[in-house]
Amino acid sequence: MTTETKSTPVSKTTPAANNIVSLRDDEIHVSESLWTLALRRLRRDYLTLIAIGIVLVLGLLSLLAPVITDALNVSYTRTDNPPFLPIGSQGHILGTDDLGRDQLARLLYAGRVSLTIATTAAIGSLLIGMSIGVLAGYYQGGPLGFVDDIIMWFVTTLNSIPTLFLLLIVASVLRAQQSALQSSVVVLILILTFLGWTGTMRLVRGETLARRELEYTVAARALGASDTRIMFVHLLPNIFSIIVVTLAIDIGSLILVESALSYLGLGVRPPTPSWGNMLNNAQSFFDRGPHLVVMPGLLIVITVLCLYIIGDGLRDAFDPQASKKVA
Amino acid sequence: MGRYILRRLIQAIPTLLGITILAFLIMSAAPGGPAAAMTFDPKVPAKQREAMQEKLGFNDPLPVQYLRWLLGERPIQVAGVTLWAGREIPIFDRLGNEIGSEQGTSGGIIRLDFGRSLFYKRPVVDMLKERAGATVQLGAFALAIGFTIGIPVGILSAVRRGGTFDNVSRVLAVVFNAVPVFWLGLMLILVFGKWLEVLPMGNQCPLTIRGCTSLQDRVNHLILPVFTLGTGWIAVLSRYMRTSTLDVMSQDYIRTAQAKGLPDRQVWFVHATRNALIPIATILGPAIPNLLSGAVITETIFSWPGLGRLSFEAVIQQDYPMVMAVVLLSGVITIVGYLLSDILYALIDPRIRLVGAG
Repeated sequence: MTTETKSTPVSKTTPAANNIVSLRDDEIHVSESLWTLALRRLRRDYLTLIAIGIVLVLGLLSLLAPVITDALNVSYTRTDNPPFLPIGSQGHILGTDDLGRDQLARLLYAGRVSLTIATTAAIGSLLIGMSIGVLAGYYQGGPLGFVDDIIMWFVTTLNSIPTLFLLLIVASVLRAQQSALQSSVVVLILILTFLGWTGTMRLVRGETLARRELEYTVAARALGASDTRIMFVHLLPNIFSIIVVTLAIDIGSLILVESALSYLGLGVRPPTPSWGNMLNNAQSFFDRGPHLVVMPGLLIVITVLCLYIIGDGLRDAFDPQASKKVA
Repeated sequence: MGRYILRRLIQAIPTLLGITILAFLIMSAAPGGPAAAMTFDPKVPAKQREAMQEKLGFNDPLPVQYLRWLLGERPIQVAGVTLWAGREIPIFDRLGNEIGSEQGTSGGIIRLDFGRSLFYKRPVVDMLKERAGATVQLGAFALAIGFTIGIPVGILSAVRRGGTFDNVSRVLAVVFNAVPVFWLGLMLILVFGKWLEVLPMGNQCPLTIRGCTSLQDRVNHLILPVFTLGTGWIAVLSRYMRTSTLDVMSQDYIRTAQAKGLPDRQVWFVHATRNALIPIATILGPAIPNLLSGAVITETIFSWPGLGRLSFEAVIQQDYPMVMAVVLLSGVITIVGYLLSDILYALIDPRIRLVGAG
């Protein structure tokens, strides 16, 4: 852009005119990308920044779980301590659980499991939902429209069964034949990924439907771009900001879903800790260790809350108009 | 309006079929499914059992098995014309030898015959009927709490936009969206049941011979589960109502009402609220599957004798006829919920009908 303006005839006259041109050069509106603008707005949004900070700290703590537990000389599996030690006990900052395992260590490792499951499943279902959504939306109504019809029929059917019912049943069926997949964590990630993409798919399909008739898509088609190129080079990047927002909120809700499944005993299987399955026997801890009921839940609430705030903050950053309408 | 409803009903048929197919596929993927359940007997050798399963038709192609499951084994006749032949089922003696055959008696899903529960050995339909009341009670009260608290809170925070009430209620709404239902239930039991000892910790009635006698008992047992299930709805509805009220408040007719000197209270709570409530009709559809999911957790925590706990137990016990019935039932209820919500919306706001018809 700058090269074009410099080659305007005005710049080739007098030095004075050159000055003017350089002034004009400054004034030339170099349009900033959506991302630069969003980043600038985000830098002023302290609530979102704090939420991002908390999630990063929690993620880092979970990541460093082995280092931290070594440094504190505690372990999330060792059961040689007295059970139900209260918060603030010597050597066990957050006390011990019903089997005498250190609660802090268990919370850290559980965070690792819960965050890994939620993040992986969110990214996985996002990729599936995004690809199917853009395909279905792009071909809707055309000669390949029946593909969209079939996909939408499948999605409507899937959405007609209450989520938790579906998850419970699929989890129990898979659990019964789990010999091939030993790890309950992997099974859970697969279930959440393959049952969780419908929301993103609907969102992306709707956006694609709206955008495929816009000028830039028509222009790309006129220039001879292939369908694949239009979908993945022109349409998807324009929807990407919406997808980033969805990702943050999805990770949050997946943490909730994972914890509910694990609490009910059909998610992460003990002894692998997750924030949900640490509450498995919560009702029997009421007398001796209420802190065992409070702590895992509190961590879930804080993490999910921060992720929701991040999602909202990102939406505001990308689309201030939308938030003005709501706020 | 009649045409709109008819069209929506026809649109629901493929979804309904989809649910039956999905339910059937999940069931046939389950190890220890109906095949094992029907022929299990430790006295019969494994080879014999396989032969029995073959004769019972468990090795038939899946579409055939699906149709049999859907339509039943009794013939379907309409006005003397046989539409579905049904089939003869072999009878085995105690060692697994075939000794004859008889006309199948199962009516199939289409005739609402879900078979017998493997665990309770009773017709599934009877059990669903027994348990449905408790869940309806819980869900209705939870939704009622959501509306009676959420709607006024939403309107008030729109009125006091930017004020303390608005900020506090908005923060609380976000926080309660992030609280897992099961943990909320546990904390409520811990605080009100265990520490304060003011409310019972579970069940629908006191565990005595007298059972549910006084209304007071029933209400006390309802409070915690209803709030566990309903708090999320208070949060959702207050947020929704706030946005919707603010939307309406920027419209011309509100300015007119204010300009002609109507008192604020009347403008807010009569003029604005009536139109702001319209979008709330769309929430009722998604509310139903959401409440059913929440009921599974709430009923399990509070030992509430409803459908939610029944279905959770059926999943754990691998009681497949029961699981299938619950999946189908919840699917049908969900479809009906969306249908009602759409019809309600179209009734309140005629513009929807016109758009839908185009």
